Order: sequence, then C-alpha cells, then structure tokens
Amino acid sequence: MTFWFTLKEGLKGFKRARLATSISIVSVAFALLLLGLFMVFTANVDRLIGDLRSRIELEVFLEPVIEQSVGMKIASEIALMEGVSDTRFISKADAANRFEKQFGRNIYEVLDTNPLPPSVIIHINEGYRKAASVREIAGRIAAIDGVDEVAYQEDLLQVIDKYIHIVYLISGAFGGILLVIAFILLHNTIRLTILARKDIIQIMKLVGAKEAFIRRPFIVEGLLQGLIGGIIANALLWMAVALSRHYFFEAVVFPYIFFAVLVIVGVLIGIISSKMSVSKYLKAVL
Amino acid sequence: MIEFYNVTYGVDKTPILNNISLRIVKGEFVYLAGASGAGKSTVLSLIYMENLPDEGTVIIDRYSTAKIKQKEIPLLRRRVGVVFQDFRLLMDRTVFENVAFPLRVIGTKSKDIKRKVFRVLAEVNLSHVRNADPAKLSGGEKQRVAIARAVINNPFIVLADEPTGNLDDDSALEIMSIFEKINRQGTAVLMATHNQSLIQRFPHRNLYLNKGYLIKP
Ligand SMILES: Nc1ncnc2c1ncn2[C@@H]1O[C@H](COP(=O)(O)OP(=O)(O)OP(=O)(O)O)[C@@H](O)[C@H]1O
Ligand SMILES: [Mg+2]
Repeated sequence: MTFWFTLKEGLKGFKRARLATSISIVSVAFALLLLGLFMVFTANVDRLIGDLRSRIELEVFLEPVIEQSVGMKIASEIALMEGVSDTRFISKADAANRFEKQFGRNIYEVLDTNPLPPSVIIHINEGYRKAASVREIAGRIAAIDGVDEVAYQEDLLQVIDKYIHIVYLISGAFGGILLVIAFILLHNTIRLTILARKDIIQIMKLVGAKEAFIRRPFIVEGLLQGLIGGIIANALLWMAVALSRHYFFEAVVFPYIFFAVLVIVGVLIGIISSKMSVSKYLKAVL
Repeated sequence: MIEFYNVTYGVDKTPILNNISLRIVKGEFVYLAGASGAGKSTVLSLIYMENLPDEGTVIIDRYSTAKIKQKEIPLLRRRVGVVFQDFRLLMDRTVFENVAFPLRVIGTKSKDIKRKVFRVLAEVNLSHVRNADPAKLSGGEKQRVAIARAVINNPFIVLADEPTGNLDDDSALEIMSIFEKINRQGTAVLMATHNQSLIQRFPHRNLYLNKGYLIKP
C-alpha cells in the first residue's frame, strides 16, 4: 500500500521541481558520460599494454657447439618451467636462414663457417609478463647446462611496469573526482527539490509519518534521477564509441559491462545523495 | 488526557513559557486565550511535541516527555489532530487526497481510506467538492478540509491554532459549529484564539496566557 504512495510521491517530486530535476539529470548524465569515456580510455590503454606485454619474448642462446638433440631437449625442459607458455627451437640452420632474411646475405658468403648458435625462443604466460618475474625465469634458464645467454627487452618491461602504475593511479583519481562531481551535482539539486516540497514534509511530520517513510519518496526520486542519468550517459557513450570506431580506430575496446556499471553508479549516487540531503533537512526542521 | 507539570520552555535563554501547569480531560473543550506573543502556539507545539520542555513534564495520552523516544513522536501525532490559521493544505492534490493524506502515511487500505474520507467530508459538509483543487475553495472551505484532515485518524484531541483568524464572521461561525460537533462526538478540543466574541458566544473553560504565564481565573 505505502509502496504506491511512495512511488507516486517520488514521481510528483519530478513534476514539482521540473527544472531542478532536469538540470540534475543532465548534469549527472554528463558526469557519468565523462566517467564512461574515461573507463573506455583506461580499458583501451590496458588492452594496448596487454598487447605489448604479450609480445615479450626471450631468446635463449645455447652453446654454439651443442648437439641438436641436446638443444631440443633443453627446449623441452624449458617448456615445462613455471611461467613459460611455449618454446620454439631454432637450430643453427634456422639461425642461418633467419640471418639471410634479416640481412639479405647468406652467412656462408660472409664467413666460411656458421658461427650462429642454436637458440630457443620462448613466450611467457600472461601472469608472468612483469620485469621481476621475467628476470627470475631468465635467471633459472641461464643456470641450465648448455645455455650461454638469455636475451630479452628488459628495459621495455621496466618502462611498462613503471608507467602502468601511474596510468592506473591517474585513472583512479580522475574517476574518483568524476564520482564526487556527480554526487555533488545530484546532492545540490535534490536539496532544491526537497525545498520545493517542504510543505509536504511538514505535513507528513504533523500527521505522524515516520522519518524513514518521509525519506522514501525522495530516495525514489534520487534513484530515478540517477537511473535516467545513467541511461542517457550510456546512450551518449555508445554513440561516442561507435563514432570513434568509425573515424579513428576500429578496434576500440568496449566491455558491455560498462553499461551496467554506469547505471549502477548513477543509481547508487542518486540514492545516497538524496538520503543524505533529506536526512539533513529532517534534522534541521525537527 | 493532557497534563503539564511546571513546564518551562525558552529559546536561546529567552523564556517563552514559565512554570505552566494545566490539565485537559477527555472530551473537554478548552480555549487558550491571550494576546499575541503570549505563548499560545508554543503551548500547542509542546502538545504535539514539536518542542520539548526545558523543565517540567508534559503528558499526552500515554506519552510523557520524560520518557518518550524520538521514534515514538510520530505515533503520538497520530493521536492528535492539528489545525492552523493558514490551513496548510497540499495544493498539488485534490480535497479528497488532502484528507486521505494521514491515512496514506500510515498505510491504510484504499477501500478503508475511501470509506473514512467520505464519512469525514460529509461531516464537514464538503462531499460536493471532494475532487476539487483546494486552491479554488473559499477560506472557510479550506479550513473545513484542514479540520477533516485533523480528525480522519480519530484523534482524542484536536488542537486548533487561531482557526478562524483568516476567516470572515460567517465562516468563523461555521467553523466553530464544526468544532462543537466534533466535541459532542467525544473528541477534546483545545483552541488558541484571541477572538473574545467567539469565546463569549460559545462558552467553554478558558486558559488565559499572559507573557508566558498562565493566569489563574
Ligand atoms: N523559535 C523561536 N525563536 C525565538 N522566539 C520564539 C520562537 N518561537 C516563539 N518565539 C517567541 O515566543 C513568544 C510566544 O510565541 P507564540 O507563537 O507562542 O505566541 P502566540 O501566543 O501564539 O502569538 P500569536 O497570537 O501572535 O500567534 C513570542 O514572543 C515569540 O516571538
Ligand atoms: Mg500563535
């Protein structure tokens, strides 16, 4: 019974303070849109960095004189190590081919013999693509009998590891700021809608409504504002993603869970900010 | 039953009521008279516990200011009807909905709301305007809507703060006769007023306030 009353009064609040309500919805939608764009940006940076990391490979140079069968045994031994996803054995002959491809000349034309050592190219499992873990794996491989040297782009990994923190930190801070802005915007306009209905609050109190009951229509109102703001933000965000896919970069990553995130964030902000405003108001008039 | 025991109340060290003791029994009709600023509205606010005494005790029905919890005040207010000089109707809904409001707040079933509101509107002779916008009613009609809202929950007392203050003489008489009728049906009435001619025309016990003191008759 009181459910319908609450819903009706919440919707009445929409009509009562039409301008304040519209401003609040638009501003919340705007803040959520920024938040969404920002999440998309971060997701794409994350994807790019993931790509970079997945390209990390280690080349394990074996002793030049080693027998091919021993080299292949070492390769399969490495393949079983923790953190290693796959290995590929490069024989002396493969190395010579690679040289010719890279430099355009046959090694035997340059030198009489083939001094290129056999090697093993290895890829790293996803969870281990950090400077420290890769260094640890490289160390273990270097200790294997018959291994001469382990080569990889350590500095690239170090740069990624160093800046990824900054990227996450900035995105976290920026996202937090946007949330606070959305919250303040909603809080302020909800306060206006409360002032526009202080007569109802007074009369509710006079006829013996409990505080939780008085609060509820305002919370419904805040919830609806957040919900509508979230839906509008989603529509705009989707348009922005579609446009950037069309004009800039087809592979823009967009996890659909972001739609849910924005709506949930909008609703939560709406509920919390209206609850706070109306509680503050109720305390003030009691 | 309403009892004040040595009640003192002030705002920011300015005393408004001083050492007030009084008693209103079940079904009584009592005037609260006194000049403007004497403290009449403040006495009423202590009864519906918008304000609590600084000293002394107010007992309303089974609630005492000495023991009442904040959460119980709404329950007390459901037992007390209040009517103001300025009506305080909700202009965004019909007469019917204004009167139904206290019932909606406590979650009464729609069917019961309809039955009760129809009955009370008939009592104050407003059945014909139940779907009207309250802004379109005359002052006397607005006050009758307010009275209907005050009695819809069967309170044991109705507090009226200068209920005829904004009305012409004819409307004032009509309002008075409605209060008389409500009182005859067993509801106590406490009416703050400084309209001496009404007090003489409808004689009842009279509490007289002067600058925050209750004057002995
Ligand atoms: N919240 C308040 N803060 C300060 N002073 C107040 C407050 N409420 C009431 N007063 C003072 O207390 C005194 C009594 O006020 P009250 O409203 O009870 O008088 P009243 O008898 O109802 O007067 P009136 O006939 O004009 O309605 C007045 O002097 C008023 O200025
Ligand atoms: Mg007064």
